[in-house]
Amino acid sequence: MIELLNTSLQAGTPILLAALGGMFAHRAGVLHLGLEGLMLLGAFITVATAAKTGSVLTGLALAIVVDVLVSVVFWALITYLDANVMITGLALSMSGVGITSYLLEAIFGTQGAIQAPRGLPAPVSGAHGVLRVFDNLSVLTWAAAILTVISWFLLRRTRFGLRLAAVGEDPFSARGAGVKNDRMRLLALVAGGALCALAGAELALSSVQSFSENMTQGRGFLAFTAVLLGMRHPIGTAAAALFFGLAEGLGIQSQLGLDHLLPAQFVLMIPYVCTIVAVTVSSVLAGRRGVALPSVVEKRL
Amino acid sequence: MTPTVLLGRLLRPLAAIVAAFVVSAAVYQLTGYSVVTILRGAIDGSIGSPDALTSSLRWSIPLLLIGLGVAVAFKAGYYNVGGQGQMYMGALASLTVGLYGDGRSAVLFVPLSILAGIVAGALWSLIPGLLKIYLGADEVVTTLMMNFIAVLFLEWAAAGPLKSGAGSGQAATTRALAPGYRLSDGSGVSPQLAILAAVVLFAVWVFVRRTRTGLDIVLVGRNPVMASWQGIGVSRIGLLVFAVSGGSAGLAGVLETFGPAGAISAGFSPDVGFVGVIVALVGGLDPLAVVLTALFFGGLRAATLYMAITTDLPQSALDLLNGLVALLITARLLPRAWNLRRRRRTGAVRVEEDVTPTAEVAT
Repeated sequence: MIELLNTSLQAGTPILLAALGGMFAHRAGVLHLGLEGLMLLGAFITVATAAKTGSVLTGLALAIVVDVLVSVVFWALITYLDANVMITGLALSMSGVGITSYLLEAIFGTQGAIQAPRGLPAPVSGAHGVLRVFDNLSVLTWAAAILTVISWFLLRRTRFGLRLAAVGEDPFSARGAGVKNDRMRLLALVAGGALCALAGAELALSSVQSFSENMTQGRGFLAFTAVLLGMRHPIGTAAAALFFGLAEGLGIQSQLGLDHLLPAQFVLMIPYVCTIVAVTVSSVLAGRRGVALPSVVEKRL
Repeated sequence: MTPTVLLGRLLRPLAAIVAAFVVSAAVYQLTGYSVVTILRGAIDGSIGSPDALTSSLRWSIPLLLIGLGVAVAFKAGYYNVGGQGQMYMGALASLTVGLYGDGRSAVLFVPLSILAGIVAGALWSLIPGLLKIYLGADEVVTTLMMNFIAVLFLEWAAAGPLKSGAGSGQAATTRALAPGYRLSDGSGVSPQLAILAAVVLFAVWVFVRRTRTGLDIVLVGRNPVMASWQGIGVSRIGLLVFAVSGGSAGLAGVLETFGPAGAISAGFSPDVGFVGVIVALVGGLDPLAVVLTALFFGGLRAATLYMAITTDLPQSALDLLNGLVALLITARLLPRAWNLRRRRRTGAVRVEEDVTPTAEVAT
């Protein structure tokens, strides 16, 4: 049980970090399907740089810079060139797979994995008793918890958060109130890019300490749906992300010997089925309350 | 459609493809591959020889079928991006029927398998369709999730009930179909497949362009509220396009299984669903233009596989190009001045009207 919670926290952290990024974007009215690509790119750059220079920190910094730059391009495409937000986001994810696999082969000459010299430091290790839940969790897991609280404060207790929500929910009124919509979206996407870079770094460096082709395997999309599931609230989003972590933890554990109960593939389906149910339920609830869905905001303004 | 309008429509996809080529060429050059070699490889691998042409056609067929379905759904304003999963379910259903037939009377079991595949794809698509139309669940999210579920389901089926004994885990392969059921050899091109693809193409074209329902689809896509005032059953049209796009993707899975593959491997053709969406968008959701874009992307895929074998260029080199085309395909050529003015007034991110009509019924 304690092992399961520990595995789940570890598995949930990358999803949580990316989901926080997606939440900022979503709050600003951008349905960000590019999280997957940004995450993968972040993971690759962190590991590749660390492998070349030996410094994990340099890798992390470079990953953040690149992901932020890509996010700015994404922003420019949807803002100035009127590109379709969803298609472009999806394409960002596809390009993420393409460019990382390509660079993996072109630079490192392998289709397999590249190793990082070391992983991320873990503040707590060798704990006893119940505290073993927190054993060997990377520093980014702890950072994710703090970032969740910071996001909550930013979004719910500051003028910035209020403006961001206004941009997403009613851009016309926001504009009328003197908020610069485009600039707010840029800020949200930049924050999203940086968080996705962290998510990728955590994914690559916490347990496996390597990068392999397409290693995100849909976690970015899970992060995207965690935002929907958590109704765009920081705490709700974090809870949803950790729930996905739990489901993945269960999947990992079932591969370790629960196969006779339910095939591993069916356990791994749980988060996806839950997402469909949650999206449906939230849409029904929103319809009943007469509140427009967040996605409606995005599709046509 | 006047020539200028046609040119205008073609210009944007062409510009996106050219821009994507330039960016990827820069990446190739920077990482030490010669652009000239890559271009020559791309041409040799897609149109340079009879074998290359066959390979291009072989990869165009699934893209064409998925792209046509996507075009119909997007035309009505429903963003069904679940082609991948629908294709997998179609492939699985047809294979199950085919394995049950086990070589007995091909005349009976092959059409039955094809039908099973189409129905399975349509049903898999109707789940998010029903959730969208009656409960309002966002179809982009649900169809995406249905893809993941189908991938896992296929993995389970290929490694469990239908397994051949060879391979394991993600590379698991099912038992093979009886040779008498196959619609083509391993090359993936045969008169039977070509006829089936042509029939679907013709049917979709007639359906969209020459029938009342086809017109209804366009009207619903332009403005669902107005369409319902005009007496069009918007829900009915919605369910119809989900079924059509799912069935078409299901058929793509059938043709893959009964054509070149002869069996199913877990996770086969992993990105053909998304590329199908791009094919439909580049083709401007027009059935005949979709043929051209399917051929283009099919050729690209053939070239990718060819170059991975004959040169040391990574297979992912053209995946990158594919992704970049998708990234740029819905973007405007230039931020138009009047448009900038309008955008400044509202400060809003808009969806490109002519390519991707909105699906939202005002509630």
